[in-house]
Amino acid sequence: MLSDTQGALSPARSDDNNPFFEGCGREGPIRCIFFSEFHPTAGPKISCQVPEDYISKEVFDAVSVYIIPKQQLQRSILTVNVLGHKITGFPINIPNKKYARNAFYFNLCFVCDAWARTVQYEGVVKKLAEYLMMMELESNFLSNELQLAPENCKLPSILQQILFDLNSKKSCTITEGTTNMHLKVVKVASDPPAILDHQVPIFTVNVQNFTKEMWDLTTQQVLPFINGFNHVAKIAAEADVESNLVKACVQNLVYYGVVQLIPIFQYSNVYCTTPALQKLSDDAHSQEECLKYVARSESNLPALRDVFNMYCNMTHGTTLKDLCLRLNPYTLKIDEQKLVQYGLLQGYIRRINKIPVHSGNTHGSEPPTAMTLQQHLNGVNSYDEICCLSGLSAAQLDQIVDSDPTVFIIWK
Amino acid sequence: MEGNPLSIILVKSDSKGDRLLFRYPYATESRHGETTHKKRKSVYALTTSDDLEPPHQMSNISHNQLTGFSDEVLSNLFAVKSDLCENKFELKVNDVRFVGHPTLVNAGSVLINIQFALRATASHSIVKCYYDLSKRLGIALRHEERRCGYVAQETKAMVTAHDEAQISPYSQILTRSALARDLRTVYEDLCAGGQVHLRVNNWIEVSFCLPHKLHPELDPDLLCIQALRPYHGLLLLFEESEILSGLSTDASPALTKILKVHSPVKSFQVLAADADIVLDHVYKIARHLVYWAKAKVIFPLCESNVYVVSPTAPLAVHSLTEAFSEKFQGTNLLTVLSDFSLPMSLGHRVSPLDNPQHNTQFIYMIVWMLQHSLLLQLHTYVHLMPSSAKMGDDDELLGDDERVVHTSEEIAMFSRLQRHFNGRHHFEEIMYLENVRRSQLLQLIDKFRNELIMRQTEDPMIANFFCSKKMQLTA
Repeated sequence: MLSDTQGALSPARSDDNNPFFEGCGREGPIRCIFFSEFHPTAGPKISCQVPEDYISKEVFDAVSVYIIPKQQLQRSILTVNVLGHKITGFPINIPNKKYARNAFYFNLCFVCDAWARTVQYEGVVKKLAEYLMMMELESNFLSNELQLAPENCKLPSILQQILFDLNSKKSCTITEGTTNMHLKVVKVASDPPAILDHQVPIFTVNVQNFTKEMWDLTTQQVLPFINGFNHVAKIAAEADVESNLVKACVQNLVYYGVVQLIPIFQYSNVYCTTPALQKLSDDAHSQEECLKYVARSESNLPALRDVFNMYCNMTHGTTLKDLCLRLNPYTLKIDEQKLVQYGLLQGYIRRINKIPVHSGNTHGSEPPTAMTLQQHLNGVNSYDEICCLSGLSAAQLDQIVDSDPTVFIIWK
Repeated sequence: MEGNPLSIILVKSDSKGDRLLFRYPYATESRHGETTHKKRKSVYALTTSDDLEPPHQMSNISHNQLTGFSDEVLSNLFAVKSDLCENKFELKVNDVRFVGHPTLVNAGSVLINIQFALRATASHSIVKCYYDLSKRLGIALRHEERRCGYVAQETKAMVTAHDEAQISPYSQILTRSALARDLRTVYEDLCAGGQVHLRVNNWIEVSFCLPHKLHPELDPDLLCIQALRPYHGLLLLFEESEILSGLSTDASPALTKILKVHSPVKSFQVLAADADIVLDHVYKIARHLVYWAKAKVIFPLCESNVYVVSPTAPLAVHSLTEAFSEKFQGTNLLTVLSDFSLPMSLGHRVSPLDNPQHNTQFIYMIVWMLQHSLLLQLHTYVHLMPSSAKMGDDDELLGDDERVVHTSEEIAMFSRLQRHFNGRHHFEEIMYLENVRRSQLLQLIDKFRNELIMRQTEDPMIANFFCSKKMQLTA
């Protein structure tokens, strides 16, 4: 077993110090895999399980209705969480006159602890069930297995291998006869939000660490233009890729956690600190990392006080330009662009957006230019977004907004 | 909304077998109907006729309602074996999660199971709340069965309606069974506001709230462990009379007392003294009011408080601007709010020379904007960070480039307060802990300004009430 799963392998108890309480949201290892069938005379039973006797007969009897369910629930992913076990299965029936009850009912289930998140195993369980169904259809694999003497059975060793491999390497390849099964536990995350034109993707991992060939062709074309400064619309133009495709690529990269989105860098931007900045004051490791990141040259690191002071001076109403004029980061050996990047990535600072809002009171004297813009002045779009949408520069937008008394500027 | 229930289901199991007594909503499905929507996901999808696999139903949700489960299937699933009774029961089928507490009534001879169908993506804490509600309803039913045979009577009414009905019995059941009507109310109240106030059989009170629905901006897991401090205060979200009238008759008298003496300028400490209640009890009542979305925790309003527009202030909501103009005649929310684009202290706007009526109205506006999470209070934190040249040189730590000479009192006070200059305590907390005045603190900080860095940000303990954590991180 990998060392990082060691902690998870100790049995869960409900004392206060245990991080593995129900609802902790952590993934857990597979404790047991069992194969159950509907026996023509004995009814639902476990025919094979590894490790043996993990699920007792009493527990199985209590949940058998969810393991071998009614016809209507066949081929559904069913997870039942009772009596301290979380059991996931994909029940299957194969109708055929040759079987004693005119059908063969089976379900291959994974058992985890009640506290564990198990949604990542659902795909594997389903795929495995479908492989077994195919093997049964092609060569009666399952019905033959169930009639063999236990020492000749292949199923226990197959299940053992799946259990071990999935827990240790999250993937497993099984060869049985002419069938090859490739199983992989895939992380399930929620869909990342839609990507907007004015957002800037930035790598959160070292670019050298991943092979370009791993990604699709469009992503490969887009990757070189992701530098933490280009916004999506600009990347689309420079990479000569359609903007919606770039958005899809970036969204995909966000899903896999290799890219994060930050606002466009501009000297007119305003930032403020968040409570997270406390970490930079407390944690020596964060300080070291920060100084290396924001330094103008790696050999000549800035002083922590200067870096911290620059962050603390990022307040409402202070543009980055003001800040640079006042503190002169060049002489402090600080690269202000990297300072902002690092602050945003770590959540030490956040951008304060300038949002023009139309009050809705229409006067007769209203300049006609604002009419076309009005739909964007809805209190949701920031200056960046409106500039991207309308093609106006910030200065042009300023001019329009300033001359219209029904538009208010809110910074937030 | 993730937290809304898809369906509420009542199943009984006794010596006469198991039966689905009631489900709500029921209209979408005919009794034996089984909806099989086969959607072709892509125009390129293979549609081979000799496909051996029967269609795999991936979703059991359509139009925010449960679909694809016949009454018989549900009855079979929830008439659980006796080993599973009086415990949490959780079953996930495709994208639907069922949760409930199967309860034994009538000395264990009858099983009653109230199940909630939720989206499988609903967070664990939401599932836990629904489990809790199912359990409480079960306990109330068990009590009423013991007291007056309520469950038997209601079960009989529902079973009769089932047996008589030709098509769908549920509209009949709603007219005949009070329990069915209660369950409908539970479902509808949960969808509408997330709060349930019910009297089972007009007798047992069941109150429930889904904090996720009431405070979408708060992380519900943090809700109860908010570190309250004596200098924090309460901001009521409703008129005092409105909250009082909503209380049940056996509500704690301490709660009423606190509501009577409450004011947004009072700290918990002052509230405790005014209501003559110990501080810990005031905290408990405050947490209770917060949980039920009747109040937020704030720093009591005072002149030195600095506010700024909250990063998650909803600016696109027209109903808000209209409500504001209606409450404060002749004013515009956007005008007032745009003044807070830069941090502004109350004292800056409220001057003794101004018309007192004007000042009062301004304070009411602040309260209103805080209630609607439009403003965020900023606090100042202090970090002791000597300039790098002096690092590690303790003797000169208190010295200064500009050769400012510190008096011995200043140095004494600095060494007393120094332990708070680590960024963990804001001005107001230092003042509270060390019993110093703001002017004293400001003077001291100014004297030692070359060794200190000020940081202005929100108080993370209470900022959640005014800006959502999730949105804050997405820059």
